[in-house]
Amino acid sequence: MLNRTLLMALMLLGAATLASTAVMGDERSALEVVEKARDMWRGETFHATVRIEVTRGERTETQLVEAWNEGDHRSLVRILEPEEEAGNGYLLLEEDGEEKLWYYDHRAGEVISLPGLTLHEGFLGGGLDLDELMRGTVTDHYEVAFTDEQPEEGYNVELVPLPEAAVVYGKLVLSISEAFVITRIDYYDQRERVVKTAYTEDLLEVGERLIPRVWVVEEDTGDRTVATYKELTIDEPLPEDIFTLERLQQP
Amino acid sequence: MTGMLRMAWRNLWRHRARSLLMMGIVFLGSLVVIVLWGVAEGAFQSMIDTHVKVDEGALTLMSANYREDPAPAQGFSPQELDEVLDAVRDVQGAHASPRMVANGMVRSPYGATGMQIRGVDPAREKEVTQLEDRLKEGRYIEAQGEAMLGLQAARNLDVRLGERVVVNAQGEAGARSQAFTVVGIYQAGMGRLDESTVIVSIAEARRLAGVEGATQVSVSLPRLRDDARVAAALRERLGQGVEVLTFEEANPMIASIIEVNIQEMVLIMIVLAILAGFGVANTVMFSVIERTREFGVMRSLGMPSRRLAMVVVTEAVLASLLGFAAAAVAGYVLVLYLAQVGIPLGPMDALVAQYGIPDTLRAAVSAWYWGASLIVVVATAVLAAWLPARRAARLQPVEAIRAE
Repeated sequence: MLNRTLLMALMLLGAATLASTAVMGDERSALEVVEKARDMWRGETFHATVRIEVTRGERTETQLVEAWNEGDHRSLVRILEPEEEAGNGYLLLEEDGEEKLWYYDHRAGEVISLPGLTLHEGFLGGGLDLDELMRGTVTDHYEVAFTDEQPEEGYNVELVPLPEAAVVYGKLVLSISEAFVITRIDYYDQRERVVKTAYTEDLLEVGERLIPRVWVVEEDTGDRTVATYKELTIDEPLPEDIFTLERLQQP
Repeated sequence: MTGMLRMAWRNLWRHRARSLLMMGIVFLGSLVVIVLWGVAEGAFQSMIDTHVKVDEGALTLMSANYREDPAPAQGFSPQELDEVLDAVRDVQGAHASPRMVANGMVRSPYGATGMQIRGVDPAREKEVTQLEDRLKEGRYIEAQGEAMLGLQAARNLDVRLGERVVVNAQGEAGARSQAFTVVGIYQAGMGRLDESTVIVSIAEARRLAGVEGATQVSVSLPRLRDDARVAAALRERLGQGVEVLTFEEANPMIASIIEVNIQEMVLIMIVLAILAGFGVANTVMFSVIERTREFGVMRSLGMPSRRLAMVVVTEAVLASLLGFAAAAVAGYVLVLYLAQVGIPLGPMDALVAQYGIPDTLRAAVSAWYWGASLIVVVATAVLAAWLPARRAARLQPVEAIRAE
């Protein structure tokens, strides 16, 4: 089960269908920039094929997955490659306000219910630590401000977690292009050291949106995750029965 | 009787070297037993101490359902908790601390570890356990949003005092997460507590678990040895739904480790006693053979054979007691020294830490093993002197006097 964590992160990339935040005071412009960048990802539905390459120490594993997503809590991920895992999948649903996660193993022909905690678990080890960024409203968790050093084009924005925010980082520094595409995120620990960096390469035009084609996440341990979007559609209607256990079991 | 004692005493010092040799054998055997046992007793006491004083109190109360299936929802409801606390309040000198225990994940910027979340009421918990004494850095939690971590856990997560960690839990009402500032780092000397427990306020643990009430109540008693009696009384009062566990019941593994080790010590003691016993028997036998003539004369002068045998036995017992007394003095000093300085366990410390033994083992003095050793020494001396004494008793006076 390589990296279900990362898959969950990817689900959430498309998952942020959230109302814009009330904007306040001096931070108006910085917050606006972040919100605009977030808007790039926002949509009712999301469908993508992604190649994920995870390097841990000497080992590199590659997966090709197809993911469907609707709203905040409905996702289906199907593994296409490698061959031995092809057909396996994950389904995330919200029932009675509780997130439920299932894993389907096509060899066992069985659906296993996974604890919802796996979701959170994901965003630490899995590399793509976007959960904290994409979930909820930014101002719920962060103080947003421009950094002192601004690039000639685009923006550098600093997100400092509020004291009660469930965020392990000391701060996040986002580089956002003029076209409001997040190009780089530096994750600082609480000692002013960068422990993780995510950066993007290439751009995909999806309708009117600009979405990075490649996400690279490098951790200071040397671990590396590369996610490359092969296909991506946002706000296209999805098959009605896609988020069901039946569908999970029919690759 | 005193006459016999005096006679035995005088006899002892007539062959000083031989008597000293006999005492030396007993001295060495006793010393080994006393020191070994002191070290073992130190290990037992630190295991019990860590568990009772630092981790869980003298008694642990939990609902029968929770013991069956340790999920927060199986714990005491607020009403049940009140009943339990009322019951403990009526026990004189006892303190109770409700706890909410749940499983979760603690995250830092550098990693995440599955841990047990232990929610406590700081004021009440301090009356039951003295984890505060084992703080390496910082202070005890006081307010919400504060957490204490074990030294090993803090190292594994690379968290320092004053830094923030995030705790995730799969609660009854879905996954929850919350940030805490680490205000204290402790070293309890116990694996579970030091590696995989995060201590927060009970209100926050309840929120993370999505459950009210408590999963258990830890109780301290003024005297640990009352535990079984108090447990029985509480069981009677609270009925079947509540499990009342003493230290032994809550830690069957530790209890059996102690039991097996005591059995081992008894075995070592018996083996050493047999070895020393042969040494004593040998020495006494020679002294009897050597004094054949002397005994013959004593018998002819009208000393009863039984009394003669008693003199021989008394000599052996006296010598053994002197040897033991010397061993007791030397052993006491040595054990006290080992209690003061401690024995560093080196690479073994991680292994023993899971049982609550600190990395430096401190020996302990306990009256009961001294008493046991004393009884064994006297019994050995009597047994060892038995054959030589019988030989002395059976001497025919006329033949004995003629013996060369």
